[in-house]
Amino acid sequence: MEKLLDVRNLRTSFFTSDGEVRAVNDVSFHVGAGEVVAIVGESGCGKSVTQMSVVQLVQSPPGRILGGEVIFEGEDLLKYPRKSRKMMSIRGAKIAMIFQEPMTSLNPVLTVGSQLSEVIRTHTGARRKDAWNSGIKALESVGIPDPERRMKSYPFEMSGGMRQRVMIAIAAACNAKLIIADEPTTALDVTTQAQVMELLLSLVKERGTSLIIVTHNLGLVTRYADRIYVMYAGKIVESGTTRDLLTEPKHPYTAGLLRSVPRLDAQKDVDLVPIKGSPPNLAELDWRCAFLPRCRCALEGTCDKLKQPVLAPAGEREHFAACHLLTEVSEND
Amino acid sequence: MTDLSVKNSTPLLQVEGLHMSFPAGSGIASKKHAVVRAVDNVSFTIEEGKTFGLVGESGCGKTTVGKCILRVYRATGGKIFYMGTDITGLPDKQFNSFRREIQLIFQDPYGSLDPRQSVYSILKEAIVCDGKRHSKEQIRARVNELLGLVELAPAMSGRYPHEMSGGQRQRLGIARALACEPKLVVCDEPVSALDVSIQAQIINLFKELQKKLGLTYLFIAHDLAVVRHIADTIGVMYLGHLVEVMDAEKLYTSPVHPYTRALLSAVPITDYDVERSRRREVLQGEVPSPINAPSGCPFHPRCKYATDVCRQTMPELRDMGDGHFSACHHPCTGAALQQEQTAQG
Amino acid sequence: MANKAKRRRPEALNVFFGRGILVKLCVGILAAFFVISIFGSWLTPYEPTAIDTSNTLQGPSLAHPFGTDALGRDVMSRLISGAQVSLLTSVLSGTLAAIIGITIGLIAGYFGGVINTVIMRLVDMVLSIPALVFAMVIAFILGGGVPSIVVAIGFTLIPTYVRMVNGLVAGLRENDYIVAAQIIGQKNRRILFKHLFPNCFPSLIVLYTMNLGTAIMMEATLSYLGIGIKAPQATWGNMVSEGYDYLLLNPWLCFVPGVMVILVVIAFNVVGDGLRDSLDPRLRGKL
Repeated sequence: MEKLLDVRNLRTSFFTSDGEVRAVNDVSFHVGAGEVVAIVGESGCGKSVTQMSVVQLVQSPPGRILGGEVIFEGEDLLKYPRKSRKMMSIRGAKIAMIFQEPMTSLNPVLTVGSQLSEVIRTHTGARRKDAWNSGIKALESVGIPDPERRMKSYPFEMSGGMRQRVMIAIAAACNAKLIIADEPTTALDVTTQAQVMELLLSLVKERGTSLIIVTHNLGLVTRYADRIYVMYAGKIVESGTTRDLLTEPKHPYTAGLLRSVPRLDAQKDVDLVPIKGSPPNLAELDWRCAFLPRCRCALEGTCDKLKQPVLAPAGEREHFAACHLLTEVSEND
Repeated sequence: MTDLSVKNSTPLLQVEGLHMSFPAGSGIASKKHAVVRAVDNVSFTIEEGKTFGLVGESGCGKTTVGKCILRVYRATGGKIFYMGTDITGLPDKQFNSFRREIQLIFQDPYGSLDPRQSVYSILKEAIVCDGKRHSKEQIRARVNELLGLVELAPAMSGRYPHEMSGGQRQRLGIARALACEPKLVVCDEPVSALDVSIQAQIINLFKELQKKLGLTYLFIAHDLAVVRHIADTIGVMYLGHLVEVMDAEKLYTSPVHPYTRALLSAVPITDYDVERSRRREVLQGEVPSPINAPSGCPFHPRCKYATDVCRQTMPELRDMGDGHFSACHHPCTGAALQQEQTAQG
Repeated sequence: MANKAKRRRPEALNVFFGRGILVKLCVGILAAFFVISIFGSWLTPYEPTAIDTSNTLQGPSLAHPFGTDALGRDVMSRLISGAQVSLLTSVLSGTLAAIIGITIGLIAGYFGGVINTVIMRLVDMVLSIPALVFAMVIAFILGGGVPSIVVAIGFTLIPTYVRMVNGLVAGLRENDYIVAAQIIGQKNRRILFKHLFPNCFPSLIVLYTMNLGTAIMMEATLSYLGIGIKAPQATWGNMVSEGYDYLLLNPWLCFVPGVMVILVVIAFNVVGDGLRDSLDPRLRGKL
């Protein structure tokens, strides 16, 4: 598959009073055309910052992209300054973004229609009237009833699901090549969640748009993703196709996450196996494996003596995991 | 000693036809215009030592039910029996004797802790609020005991909420509730604000505490998988109504209300093979505003089985046998269910 | 309050003084002024009301470090004597207003409903009268002298506290920890003073220090208008207003007491900010 987005060795840090926080520490991932990729991790693992770095929207200061490449359609986006015309034209148009709380990405004092048609005008150069009409069409295409009336309403007059649809409509109207959805359904109800996800997926199917889902929700990922990257403490610890990663997780963290989530269809008396401790503070990481303090499988004398593990092949079909148990132990055997 | 036999037969909590209406809009001009019926004719019982799960989407009234039981809101109708006593009509003075026996665990552990109090001071406050005299040593011992119950180190007692992780804060919230020696604990979305890897820790803690202390839970959450895991009986709410009540085991296997079925279908299962072979049913439309709730069955505008009956009359909760109740004119049972399954295959 | 905090959290004091030289300096200034105002009558080099017509409007000299005024009175002696009245009236009236205003505000904010509406409308009524006019009326009714000035200024400051506390409490009341306190069976009175008051404290300390400045100014105006402290007794306020007439002839007369007022107000503000931060456990870790 052709790579639409290829991120290589991306590093982003925040410089705070507590010192350097390596939110994104040497992260590489890629997204093919028409592919649905999920970045999974808990709060503070750097999954959102990674995506913000891709479009150079990391707040600076304190954040700074320190290195790496973000190759989108064959061009390294990091070569362009964040406020350059090139980045402006890519952000929001070729790469659309959908956030957890759509209220913050829509201007509360402007009507939905004026915001929608403005985006269409800037990215397609259409006339005011045409842009308004394509706005109506866009709203219709995302299943918003009575789109003419909705164009004239304000964001606060809409429900959360409806606002998220507007964001998707904007992405669709601009013919986005890639949609980055950061926790797109976390603030929504279960049934609305399904509606919004199906809508995003139909965009992928019909137009060949690529989709990055950034989430902590394993269920969402199981249902919709083609490939998964699992992030922990600023690094990708495991990656692979959804099937491989979920059926044969190779990193203890991935396996632990799967065991700690209650399953709707499980036997009632099956106990959950939690991961002990809590996610680490990124400012207090040491040189060893970041998951070590919480790992059930850590080998004494191996894991606590070695530097942070790097991604290594862990199976067929591009399955990688960063764990000493995979590399060191199997070599010794 | 005759009391004992009575105690065994009366459930710990019995909610009968609970109503809670709020005036819609505020100010003098709009007074007595519309009312929002946040909770409409809700009835259920919880036996001592059991867990009743209340699920539903936001705005369905599940939190309001909890707050009525806790008397944060005064119910506008219906009765709440706690150990056989109707607590809805009790004057505040008399309710105080039950006050501490019904406790609440909050969704947002940080917001429920006073940022200016240390762990010790938070727990001490909850201990001494019973109005009895406590010596310093007694308080110290009790604080340590409580911290032990929720698996926090005694050294934590000098910390402040902002110095703790989300999971630790929720443990502290649980310890505060336990300090009151409650019988009934209302858990309002107690894990939804926590990290995935922490949720399981807290869920397991709830189960352990129930075993150790014989607690009874009213577990309110939107996450069906979590509720099913912890609850014995589950009630599904929609727009202020209880639409289905059943054994937790049955939630996945044999729900009969179309809303419950749609809700289940919307929740992914974290197993690749199972999930990818499931039939996805996406419910159309959104939950209507409770200010102008639909006539008849509240679910009819989104229901694919809806008929004229549904548009006109509100279905009652009917016994489907085996402690399974459903409020639907066209429950998906027997023939209807088989038809659907063959259509699926 | 400060004493209690010290006992419970010894580190609060360290943080307070660890904030740097400015806080120490300002605590020093306030301490010095309080010592001066208490022992003032022994410290004055001259009798503050002694008129010396042969030495009027003199500049600073060894005999008169801050010069003399139009009647030949020693400015330094009058400053020391005035410190007593000015600090006393401002601190007393500020504290009086704070105690009454905060209590009313807490009750109005916490219980809401009719009590809140009635109290807030009363406050609006008081606020609609210009503060100075209000103070003048009270001072006039009570007659002159320090106690009546304290009451007059104190009363005009009460609504500012009620307003602020009421607003803060209305916001804080929605917090889950207030609900939590109710559910564990905490008494209303304890919720008010254990949870709501400490969480209002940061904003209140700022208002309190601001009000001290206002009180000094108001005392000056009242004295200038002749309703306040009677003429021969020096206060910083009436020294400024008297000196104003000779601004071009001898600017010292106006500047020196003016600078004193500014110094005290700034010192109160810095100490207030320091207290606010050191009493907040969330800010204590950071300097």
